[in-house]
Amino acid sequence: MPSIALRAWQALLVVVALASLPACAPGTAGPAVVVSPAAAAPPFDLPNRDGSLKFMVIGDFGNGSRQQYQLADQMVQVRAKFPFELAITVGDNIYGTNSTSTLRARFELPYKPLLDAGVKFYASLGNHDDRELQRRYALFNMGGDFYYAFKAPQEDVRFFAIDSGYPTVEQIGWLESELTGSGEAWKIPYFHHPLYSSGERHGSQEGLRRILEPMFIKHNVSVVFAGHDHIYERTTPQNGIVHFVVGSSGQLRSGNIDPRTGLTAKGFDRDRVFLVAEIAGDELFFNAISRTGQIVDSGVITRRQPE
Amino acid sequence: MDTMHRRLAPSILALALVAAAGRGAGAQDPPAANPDAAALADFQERVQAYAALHDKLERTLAPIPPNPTPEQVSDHQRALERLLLRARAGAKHGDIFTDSIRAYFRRQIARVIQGSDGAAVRQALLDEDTRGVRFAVNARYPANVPRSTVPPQILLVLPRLPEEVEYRFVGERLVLLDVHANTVVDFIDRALS
Repeated sequence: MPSIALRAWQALLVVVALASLPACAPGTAGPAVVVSPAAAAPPFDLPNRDGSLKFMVIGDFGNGSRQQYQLADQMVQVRAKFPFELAITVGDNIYGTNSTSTLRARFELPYKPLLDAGVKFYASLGNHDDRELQRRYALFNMGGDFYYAFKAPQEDVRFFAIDSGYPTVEQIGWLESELTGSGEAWKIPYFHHPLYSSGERHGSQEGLRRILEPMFIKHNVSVVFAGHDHIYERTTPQNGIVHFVVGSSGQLRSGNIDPRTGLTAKGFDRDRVFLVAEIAGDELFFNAISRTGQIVDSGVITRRQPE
Repeated sequence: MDTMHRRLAPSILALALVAAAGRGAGAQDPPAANPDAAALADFQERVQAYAALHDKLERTLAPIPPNPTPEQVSDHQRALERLLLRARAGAKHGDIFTDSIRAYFRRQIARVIQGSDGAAVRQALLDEDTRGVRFAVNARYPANVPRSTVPPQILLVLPRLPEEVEYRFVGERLVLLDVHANTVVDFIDRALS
């Protein structure tokens, strides 16, 4: 093998070695994260505390369908009780050819009440997205970049929007540098392709996992948000990290969760879903909500502590 | 809100990664030690020439304004595409991916696919069913065809590219894509074979 390739593979080994934690088999629960069982909580039985960080997660949404609009209506109703200020998107934001009219019909109109109320969306890119346009689209707050990080306005939280479809050497180096430099207690990566997923259509992206997961473990990441599979899923902790797939905020692949993976703590593949979350201190509370307003999953995740 | 867009100084790991992966073909061992050095240098020269042409032509266009409309981005893409088409009217398959570099790319990809991460990498490359999609040199990347994931294991072993172009897979073909113009610069058939 030519030397460049050999050195590249050595670099790959360095990444894994520096992570210093061995990869465990899927389904292996790390010791530090506690996920409460899903409960039939009444809408907004989260702590909903003043001063906490409240945010929304959506993915695979921008198809302009009636169902996307109906789910958006639920978001507005939820926000009246739970005033989240920011939203992160896990990609496949706008399907089809992007034009002023499609951006309007598939993003600006359905979420107009949220945008008018000042909710800021921070996008990551999926495989169906027009990358050149969306990275520059002001309402996606990407600053012209394919990947970026930002500090949340409340609590000790930093988000990392990763371009999982094209993880160059430069991007992996940037991510390692950002995670190392981040002093925030909560480091929350989000991106399109799930490291763990029980979706039959796509499933877990194991190649990507082998690079990213050791970095997440090393830097005490507790939760990861992704999409791509058009389902909702919360995994059991994988090496201490809970993975959410929020890929049905517009699209839906009904009945696509494979129960044989052993990954699923909670799954829902019968309707569209979005997720709201609240970080207060060392706890992240979450509700996953369907188009009919049903809370299909809820719980609390306690932040991993450095070992 | 403090937004950080890729501005932090590289960490030691990043430097190690970059150093290890080299700066494209230019960082290869001396030619005597590397039988692919000549092909890699030639490839890098061709890519750099393309990037220079791209930059020269793009500079003749009005820059995309901050917070552009979709039409402004699309108009810019189309205008750049037209300029590139005119400048590369005679471009053909194999102009950049010459015979010798195609063999190198296929070997590099094969080594990844036959390695310990091979099954996962192949699964990611073929995650979207894009078999049968038709395209040609200088053509626009087909509308509504999703972009393939390019796994990091693949990106690590292929020559690094200037920011004007990127690698994508369409079925089993490796495409060199002009990022700004959204056009096919060249491609390798049966890249996964």
